[in-house]
Amino acid sequence: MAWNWLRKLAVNPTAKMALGERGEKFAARYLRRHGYRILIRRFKTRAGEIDIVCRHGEWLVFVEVKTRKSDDYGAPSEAVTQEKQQHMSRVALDYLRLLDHPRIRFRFDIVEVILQDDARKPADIRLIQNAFDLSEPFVY
Amino acid sequence: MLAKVHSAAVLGIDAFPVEVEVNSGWGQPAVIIVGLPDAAVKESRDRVKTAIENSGFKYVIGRTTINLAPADVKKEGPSFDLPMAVGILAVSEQIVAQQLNDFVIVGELALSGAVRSVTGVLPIAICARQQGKRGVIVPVDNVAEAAVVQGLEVYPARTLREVAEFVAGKCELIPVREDPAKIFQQHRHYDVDFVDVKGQESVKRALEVAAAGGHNILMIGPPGSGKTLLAKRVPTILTEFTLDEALETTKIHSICGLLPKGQALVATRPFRSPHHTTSNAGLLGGTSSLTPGEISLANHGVLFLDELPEFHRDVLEALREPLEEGRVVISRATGTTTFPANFMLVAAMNPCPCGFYGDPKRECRCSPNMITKYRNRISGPLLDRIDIHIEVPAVKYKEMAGEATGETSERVRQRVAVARAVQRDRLGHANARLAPKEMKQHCRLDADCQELLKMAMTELNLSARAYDRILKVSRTIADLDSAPAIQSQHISEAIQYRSLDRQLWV
Repeated sequence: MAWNWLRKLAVNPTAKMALGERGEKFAARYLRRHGYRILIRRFKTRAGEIDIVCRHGEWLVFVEVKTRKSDDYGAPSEAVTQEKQQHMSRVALDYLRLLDHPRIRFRFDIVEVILQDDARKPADIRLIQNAFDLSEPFVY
Repeated sequence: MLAKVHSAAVLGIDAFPVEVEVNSGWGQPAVIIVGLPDAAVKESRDRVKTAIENSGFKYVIGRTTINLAPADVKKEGPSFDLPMAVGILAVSEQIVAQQLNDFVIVGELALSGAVRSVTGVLPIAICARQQGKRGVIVPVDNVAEAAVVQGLEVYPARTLREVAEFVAGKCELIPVREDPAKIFQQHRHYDVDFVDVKGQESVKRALEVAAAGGHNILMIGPPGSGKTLLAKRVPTILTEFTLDEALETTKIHSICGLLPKGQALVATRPFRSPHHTTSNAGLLGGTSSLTPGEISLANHGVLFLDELPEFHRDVLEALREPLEEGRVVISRATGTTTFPANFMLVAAMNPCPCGFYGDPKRECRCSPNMITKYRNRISGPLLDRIDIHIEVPAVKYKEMAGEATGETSERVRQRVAVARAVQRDRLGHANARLAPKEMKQHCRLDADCQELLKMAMTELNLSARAYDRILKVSRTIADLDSAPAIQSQHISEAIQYRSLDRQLWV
């Protein structure tokens, strides 16, 4: 698994990472326009990384951004697998631990960004609210 | 935040109130359903979520607990979808529902947010009235069932959005009202009539006697002699269906979801003919849950068992208590309940495996041994509860081709009604339920009759079991005749109706 990923990365690492980074930028802008207050970008702990942490009204929202060049090979959000959800759940709980376990509502959103390499603006941005639940066996 | 929606669920033939409590707190948006839900109730989580989103509402709430109280009774089926959805909308403050306390809500949700029909709406509506609720909100397809309950506002639910706006007081729904007496009058005619049956006068007479006394009847005849045809017409000669009886029967049909769409009442006496491969649970009721069986669906009507010897033995034996008591008690892991099973048993069988024993034209190919075996499949105790046995001969060509038609069901029914009235005045129940003590008092025989009966018993080799039956049936025949005392012709007719006891043909 990990080796596969590394091999893919090795083909053209910079282009892929650049696409993701640009997508995240557009996603953050999109969220801000839709009333989200961005708290932190790329929150990292031992367990992994969350692209964007933000507030949406009374909600604390953990956002995963998925950027693709096109929809042709399935929706970007399909790439948020069980495994990825588990990682995000762990990081989210780490985040809440840092805040000393506030009594707050939180959820996971996914932002799908369709972005061509040379385009100046994304072709499409979609926000999926409450995309998945905290993975088993975590509870909060 | 806490919201409470009233709903109801069916247990046995009655409904009990269920409170759907929805609480939403902090944490992640997980939904937990407690209160002994079964698989269908657990699945409603996903239906409710999708329906809410597709109705233009938002499904974003914190950790949500849905409790179905009372928590010690198992909840089944999808009928809690709608109350849960309304509860979630209320708890997430998307609707401000002041009048939730006034209503009992049931309904299944489609993914689109449309409301689908559920079963058992009639008992639920009755339960709502007993609780003193102002009204019920039921799926639009079930609205007719509930509307027969008087003193209750019955609102049709088409979509979740509509219901949400209604309980929030934003839009008005028009309550549906039905007058049960009127529907009853409109739908009480039968599609079949005794006029259609050609010939078979003796069988028709036997059926009339059976209907008049509430006796169970067994028809024995070769294939194609018209046993099924005749049996189907028995409900038409039973006394007029009363409204109370109709409501009780409708309740059972409502629980089984057998009411046709838009029909409010079972307005004619039911006729049920289960296949002979039917199981115990199918006939008596009670699968793992407590659902009524065929005998309860035939309540106040006719249960027709075609090919009686082909039924599983244990199924037939299980019929004994319900036949005696007019109800059936079902005990399962989920609980114990009593279903009414006040039916008239009409059974049919061939005289032998090949079907032509005693036929004047065709020869029977069965050995005496085979015939005995076939006949013995029906146990004595069950036969004991069938008062009248009648042979149905093959129809002669002359009768079949002839123009002559029989009496209408209407006329027969009038005679039956008179006889039943006599019985009701005498004892309060039909002759079929005469207790031995009552029989002694009301079936007194004069010397002539006693002589006749004695002769019949010895000459025709009648069993002791037949004696009581003959007395009961002759009492009914006398009632049909409006005779206060049993006379010899009544006795001799009753003796005709014991063909299986005569032991002539074994």
